[in-house]
Amino acid sequence: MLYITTAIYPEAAAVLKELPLKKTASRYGAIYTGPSAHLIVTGAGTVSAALSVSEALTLSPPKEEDLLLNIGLCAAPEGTTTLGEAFFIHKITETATGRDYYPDMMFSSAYPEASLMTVPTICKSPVCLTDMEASAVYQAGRAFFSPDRMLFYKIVSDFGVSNGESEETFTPDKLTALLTPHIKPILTETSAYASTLTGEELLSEDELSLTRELLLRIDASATMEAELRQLVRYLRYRDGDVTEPLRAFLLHYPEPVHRKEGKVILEAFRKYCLT
Amino acid sequence: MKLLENTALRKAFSHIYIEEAAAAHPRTKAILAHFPNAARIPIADYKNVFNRPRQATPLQKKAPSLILALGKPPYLYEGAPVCQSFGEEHFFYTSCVRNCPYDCEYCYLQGMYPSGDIVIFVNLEDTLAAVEKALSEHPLYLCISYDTDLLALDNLTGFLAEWFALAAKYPSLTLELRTKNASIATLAKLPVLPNVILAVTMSPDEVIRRYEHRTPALSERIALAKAALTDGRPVRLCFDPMIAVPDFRTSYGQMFQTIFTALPPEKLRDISVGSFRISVDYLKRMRRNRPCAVTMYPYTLTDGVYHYDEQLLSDMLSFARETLHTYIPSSKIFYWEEQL
Ligand code: SF4
Repeated sequence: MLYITTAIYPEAAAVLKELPLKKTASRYGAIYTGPSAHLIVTGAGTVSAALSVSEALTLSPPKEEDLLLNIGLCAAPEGTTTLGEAFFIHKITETATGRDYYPDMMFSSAYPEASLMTVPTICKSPVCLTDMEASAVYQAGRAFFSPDRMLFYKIVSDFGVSNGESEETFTPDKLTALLTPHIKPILTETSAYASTLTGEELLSEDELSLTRELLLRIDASATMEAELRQLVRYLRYRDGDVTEPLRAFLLHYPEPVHRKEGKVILEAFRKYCLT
Repeated sequence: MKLLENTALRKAFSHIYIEEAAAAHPRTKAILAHFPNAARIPIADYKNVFNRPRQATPLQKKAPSLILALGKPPYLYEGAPVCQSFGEEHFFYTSCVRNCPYDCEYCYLQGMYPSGDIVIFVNLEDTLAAVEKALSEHPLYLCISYDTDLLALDNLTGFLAEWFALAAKYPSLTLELRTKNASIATLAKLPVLPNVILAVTMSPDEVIRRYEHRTPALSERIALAKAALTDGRPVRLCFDPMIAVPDFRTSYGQMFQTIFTALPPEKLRDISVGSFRISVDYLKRMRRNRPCAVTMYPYTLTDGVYHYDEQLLSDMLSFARETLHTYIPSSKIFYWEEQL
């Protein structure tokens, strides 16, 4: 599952062209949901971003293989780049606090990397890539995601906004058009990374039910249960499969026994595991 | 968290974080010259990157970033109780590099550090000065390759030449250089000194294959030890940690035989033996970050240290003792379990 965040609707519109998501109820910002992604439209500024991202992640907590993806527009210093160019962010500086945040760059992106500043107000003459939300998205996200699973892509929309700039320069359609060509490549590379991650390997249903059966058979106390589960997990990591030994023990001890005898069986299982 | 195969993972050292205070240091420049295409990211303090919460350590171990920083005092640390002290009174270690290019599943560094990235403290001269100061008060037995593998990283850091130069100047300084590396060429560039012990960690090939990822094979480690002995260097063989693989007698028995067929035991300085043990807190973190056969083993807890149960411990120890005594006098063998 991707948790995609954008600040404003024109950015979200570019994502929605690529992913058919449905709007769902939310207290802050807007949330769109589909089978493989949530899109959180946070509103502009760090406070809105932190509130919306926190709410969305609390409502639908991510799993170990999920990613938080911030895609949005940014300002850039004049003469350093062109409008519509996209960057993969490796450092976010929050100018209001002076704090730096570092997404962990675990895979090679097709996009060039850059640092980003998150500023509290619209920037007139940026000295590097500049936005108004990324540091807050990172801070809200880090309670749920490891730093390698928070990814920030910024697309240049302007070189700083001068006072009299007309609204025509930043019409919603124009902003959406700047993001649109990048959405598919970004989703492709981030989904490729997400697909390489899995959560901790869990026991199969079969293994879990055989473990439960053996626990019943030996009339396990809470301590015995903890010990058996630990042994089963160890064996699983060592040998890759525990169904065979569990079946063999159940076959060897076909009748339920009292706890005292159960302890002897548990000890035999322990010996089996540790030899 | 587990990384499946076929991922487009970044390359090791594709990203280098550079502390602002360390940027102008000549060693920083020398190290950076090895990686002209790496992304260079300035940082105020190495901890801002190294201590990030919830890092994916096992992924980072596969392709670490490099962090160049200035180390701060204290530069010397007293050896931890789980370390083999070899009866040395002033037993210390240094930590000029944090983390290691190898990836052993049982490595305690994964329990100790919140990151799998490698930190190099470029100001080695400050550590060397601290060592000289300590030497003015008492002799020193110093492990310089505990939190890393300095021999494996020497092409990058060049630290060893300076450590060896210091050892040449101070006979009251004994250095232990522990390694799983097998670079005879790197070692050959360093002088032969009676007070620098090359401590080569030996493991059966089965353990290397299962748990010691990216490390040289047993035969290569033996070749390094042999070259060092031929040079006349003091060599220690470390069978530590011994890992309880199924049928450990066969695995370890074959390894002992292979080693002592290749190496003249009488030329070895000594041998260190210890089974896997780890502090409660480290194991807790390792189980969370990297569940595997070593971390999930049902250990026994004594005084805050997890270890194999008494029976297995005694089986492993007596097997090692009986076998090793056929090759080398008992006075030259140090057992960690005897410090329990
Ligand atoms: S060689 Fe030593 S320091 Fe390096 S990963 Fe293995 S156990 Fe850890």
